[in-house]
Amino acid sequence: MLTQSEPILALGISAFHLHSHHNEAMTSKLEETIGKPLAGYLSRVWGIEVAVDSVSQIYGGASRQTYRIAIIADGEARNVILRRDPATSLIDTERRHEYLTYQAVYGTDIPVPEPLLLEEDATIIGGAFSLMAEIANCESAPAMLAESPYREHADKIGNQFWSLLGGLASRSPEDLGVDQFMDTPEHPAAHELAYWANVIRTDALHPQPIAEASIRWLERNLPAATNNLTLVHGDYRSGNFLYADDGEIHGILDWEMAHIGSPLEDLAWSLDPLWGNEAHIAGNLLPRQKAVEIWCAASGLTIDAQEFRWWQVFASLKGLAIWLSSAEDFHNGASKDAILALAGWVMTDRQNRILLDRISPAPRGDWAEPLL
Amino acid sequence: MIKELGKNLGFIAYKLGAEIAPATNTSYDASSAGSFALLLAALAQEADRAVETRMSDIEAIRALLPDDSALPLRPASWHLDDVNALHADALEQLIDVHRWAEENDAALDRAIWQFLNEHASRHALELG
Repeated sequence: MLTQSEPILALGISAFHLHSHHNEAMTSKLEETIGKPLAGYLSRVWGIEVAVDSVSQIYGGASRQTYRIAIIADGEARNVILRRDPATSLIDTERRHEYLTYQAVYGTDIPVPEPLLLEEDATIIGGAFSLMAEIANCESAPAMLAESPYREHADKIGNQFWSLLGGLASRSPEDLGVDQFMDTPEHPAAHELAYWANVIRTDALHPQPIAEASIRWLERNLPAATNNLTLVHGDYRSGNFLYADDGEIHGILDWEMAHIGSPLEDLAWSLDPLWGNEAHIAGNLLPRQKAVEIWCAASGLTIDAQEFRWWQVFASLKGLAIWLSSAEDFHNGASKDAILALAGWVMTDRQNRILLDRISPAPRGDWAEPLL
Repeated sequence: MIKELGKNLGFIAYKLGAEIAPATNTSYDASSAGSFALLLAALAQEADRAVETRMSDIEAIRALLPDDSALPLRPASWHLDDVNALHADALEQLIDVHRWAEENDAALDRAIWQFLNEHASRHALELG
């Protein structure tokens, strides 16, 4: 099971994509377990009368639940997003890590939701939780990028997406203050490879010959340690940002895998073919080379081609590790959420084929273009 | 007995995704039902071919292993768990041989990569 975190799984599958506008009435279960205790808690903490008008769960990862909550605070209606760890989570929660990261980034030119509150007492609503202000009237689903009116803004969205990432790469961890609560690795590439190789070897339910060959490739081609360290989002991809119908990006989400490392890690991850329907269009937005040029212009950095190839292969291996861990979670964990099984099977299948196209001596080129 | 199991599971998956999921009361339930529909669609593809793909892998791996390898000729039974156990055994041995071939036998290394490509194609899911 993943211990660093588990990202929301934005599956790049279109067959039964659902973009429904259901009437999100608060179910009695959510009212009892979240609505009522949260209203009482917020009234105490904020010192004003708070009522919860509705609670609806947002579909995503199974071990970290996300809810949209309409509250009335002192007579004023507002929407907040609540993220809750399961009750079994460790004390040093993912909530704290992500919340502190949001605090560090909020107020910079990288848009994130306003962090409102962190509560690590798991007894209040059954798990540590954080509250953030909702960024309204936005989409996050990757599949919607291919639909009107968003597809007409693909260039604009893509330009912002990789410019923002370049902007993040241009800041030092000390500038953002994240070095106060994050470790600084001596050798980011070696550190990340060791971590994710261990996830694969611990969690895989069946032998993984493609993953093992990829780990050996990464070990043989390990780049030198870099002094250029930055805050790495850790899951920077389509599905983890909010965009409006005019093509403006209003929020970068899901920072729970954030860490200090190489800026090339996020860039490579954002370009993985898994996040788009076409291998040469990164994240259904822009040609990969164009995305890299935008990132370089925004970050002021130049890219060492050999090192970047390493991070691209690593990105696909990290993805595979996450999918294998999802399968393990489904098999051995309490949650039998379909998304875990789906990720653990369908995404493993696709990520394996991407890795083959990346490091096989005779790639077929069906799933990934050659490394940049 | 339901004949053409994979095809009929596919029909069920379609009904779940296209008819039942949109009729649920919340977008969370709709997305959850949609995910189950996709999972069922994957199972529909796997149902008919599960033993065949694994045994094809096992026979292909056997040809790549040393002559004295201790890989059983058949699974303990044709129950899928037993086929999976033999498949896991074969893959473990393949990983060891691949590690060795990378340093010592370029031709065998290429043959193993060729196998891995065929293996991935055999197990590919098409849910498009």
